[in-house]
Amino acid sequence: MKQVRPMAETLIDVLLDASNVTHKGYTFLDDAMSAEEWSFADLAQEADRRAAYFRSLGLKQGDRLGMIVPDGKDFVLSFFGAVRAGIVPVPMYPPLALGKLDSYVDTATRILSTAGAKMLLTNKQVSPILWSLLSRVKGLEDIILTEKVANHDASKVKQDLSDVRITGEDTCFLQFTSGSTSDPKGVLVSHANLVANSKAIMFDGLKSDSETDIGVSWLPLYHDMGLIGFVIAPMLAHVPVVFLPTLSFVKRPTSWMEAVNKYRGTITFAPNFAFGLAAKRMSPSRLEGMDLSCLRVVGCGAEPINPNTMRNFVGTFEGVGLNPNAIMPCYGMAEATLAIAFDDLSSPFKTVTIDRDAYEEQHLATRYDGDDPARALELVACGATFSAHEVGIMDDHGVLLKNGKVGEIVFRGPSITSGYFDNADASKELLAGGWLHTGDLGFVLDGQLFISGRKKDLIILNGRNYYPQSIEWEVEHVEGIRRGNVVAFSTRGDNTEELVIVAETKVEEGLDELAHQIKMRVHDVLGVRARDVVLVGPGGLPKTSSGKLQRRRTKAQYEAGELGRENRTMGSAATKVKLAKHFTASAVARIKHGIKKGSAPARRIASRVLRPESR
Amino acid sequence: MHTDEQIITLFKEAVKEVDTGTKVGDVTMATELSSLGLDSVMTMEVIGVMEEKLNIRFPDEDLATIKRMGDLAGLVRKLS
Repeated sequence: MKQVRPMAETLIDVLLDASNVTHKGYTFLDDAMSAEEWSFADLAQEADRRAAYFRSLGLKQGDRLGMIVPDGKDFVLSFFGAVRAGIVPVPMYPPLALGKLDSYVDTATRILSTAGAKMLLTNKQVSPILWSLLSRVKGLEDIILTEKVANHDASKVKQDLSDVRITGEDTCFLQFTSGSTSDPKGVLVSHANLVANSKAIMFDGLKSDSETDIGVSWLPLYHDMGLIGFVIAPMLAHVPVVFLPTLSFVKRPTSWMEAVNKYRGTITFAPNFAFGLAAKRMSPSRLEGMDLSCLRVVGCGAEPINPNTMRNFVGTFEGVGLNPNAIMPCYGMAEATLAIAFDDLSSPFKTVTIDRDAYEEQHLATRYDGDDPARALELVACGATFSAHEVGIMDDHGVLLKNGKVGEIVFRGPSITSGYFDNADASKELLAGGWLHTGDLGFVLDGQLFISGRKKDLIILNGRNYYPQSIEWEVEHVEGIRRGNVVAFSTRGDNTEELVIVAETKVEEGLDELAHQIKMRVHDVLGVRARDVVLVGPGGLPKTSSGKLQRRRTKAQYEAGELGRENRTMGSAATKVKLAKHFTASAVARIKHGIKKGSAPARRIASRVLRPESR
Repeated sequence: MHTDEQIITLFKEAVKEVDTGTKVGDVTMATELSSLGLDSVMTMEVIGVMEEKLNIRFPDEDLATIKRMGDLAGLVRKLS
């Protein structure tokens, strides 16, 4: 086994170190799966050439460069070019096909403004819709086309890179977390963070071998898992990677494992939803002749992991040689650079089934072996953290909890960010007490980290983050819905997380049509699809004694079948009894607390204004 | 040359292949694809299935211009 253990302190050192490696590197596939190969030496050389060009445009060390570059090869070359010049790239997601351009441009405006970007790099095809950004983003001076960067005449660019002085503490790039929020935050990713996390991933986690390992990835490069996991970390360890376009995978989910098979990939990663897609569309004829015995690591992270999806994936591909031990659930986030914990590779992935009641009510993870499916909660183990890093579980008072207790997952070590760009308040909250506060709930059992939920009920659909409030507020605009009486949450579907909306209404006729309107509104404005809309009568949503909505409880009731699916309002006699109990309980509670009818929604709205979402 | 009806039928078959649970109701050339309740990933899967069945490739930049069924049909005719 051969490992390159560079003494690199910065990504520039990594590039210089790779500039001698001429016999392997990165392979970029296009939508027709034809390949273009770049050795590490060629990549490093082209990074120098692009770096010089960026400098000739007036970009200086520390300037931020927005990047909306859909093409993988152009992204990688330009990213390294900017980094080589000491420029700070800001990777951004490209407009989705059939996307909603207005809201896209709004989000891009906010990200570029927050980052204080001086220029924006994009390509000829995308640029027509982006020119308006020049007038909308203060300080944005120009839009650069990748075609010009790629084809510039190097003989006319006289730029010496020897004066670029970068240390480990310098910011390498800004990672904006995915999802649409009105208040985007750019995670400061330093060179030292990248080197520390890349080493943790490649050596501690993957035990990579630079002679035999080959990565295969379709992950978007504007996202941490694709960019750090497959562009930066493998270059540090001199492990070759084959990239296929993200869109090719989404259009033809079978292309992922087909590429692994063709290129004899040993390491690949994806979020949970992709495992579902890949297995669902794989027919016996496509499996014929496939041999996946080459795969050593199939990592799964970036969104909640559904054990059934993993089992189904293994079941689909085991017959063509997939080693069940290769499945590697993992956990991480942009604020930790990328990786926090990896499962090991010596056994199939592990799960634990805990008692949902003890979890919800006492915040305890206790094993459950009863036969009530509503009480059983099966979670996937995400392994342990890396050397020089530490994971803890913390309560709301900043006290570290013992094994088996549920609390917020906290993390520390050389991979954690120093904060968000130009946002001292959010940074302080993120790093209170020297720990990175992940906002995720979890526990440690038998040395394994389990992620059980999100402190702030964040909804993740297809890898993008949504705040429940943003969905709920849209639903409230639908006529017939009681304002302040909507709950949105995600629940495990067959393969992926699915959005469920529960709303109170006084309307008794035409409920199907009302549910349809809600689905349409959420889709039109946010571009997400609600799998189920449940309409309940006034008071049908669980609330605290002070009238606050209880998202987690609503979700538990929904999952236990107590809210009624398929748009039913009040179904069985049992439901009616429950609802009657509920009406009584909330009426009593209201009287007890002396709250006049109607004041609760008003207070909810006030609290939103006073306490805007911080993360 | 594909007729409107053929393209709609093909589209509906593709939706069914991608997700058997989704019911697409009446579709005309004026129907906005976003009104059919498919999320962005599913929409791209449907496009992918149509590409395979028709043996064509929709250029990425053209996909962004598709809003209505008629736009999709126009693109199919242009490419096949």
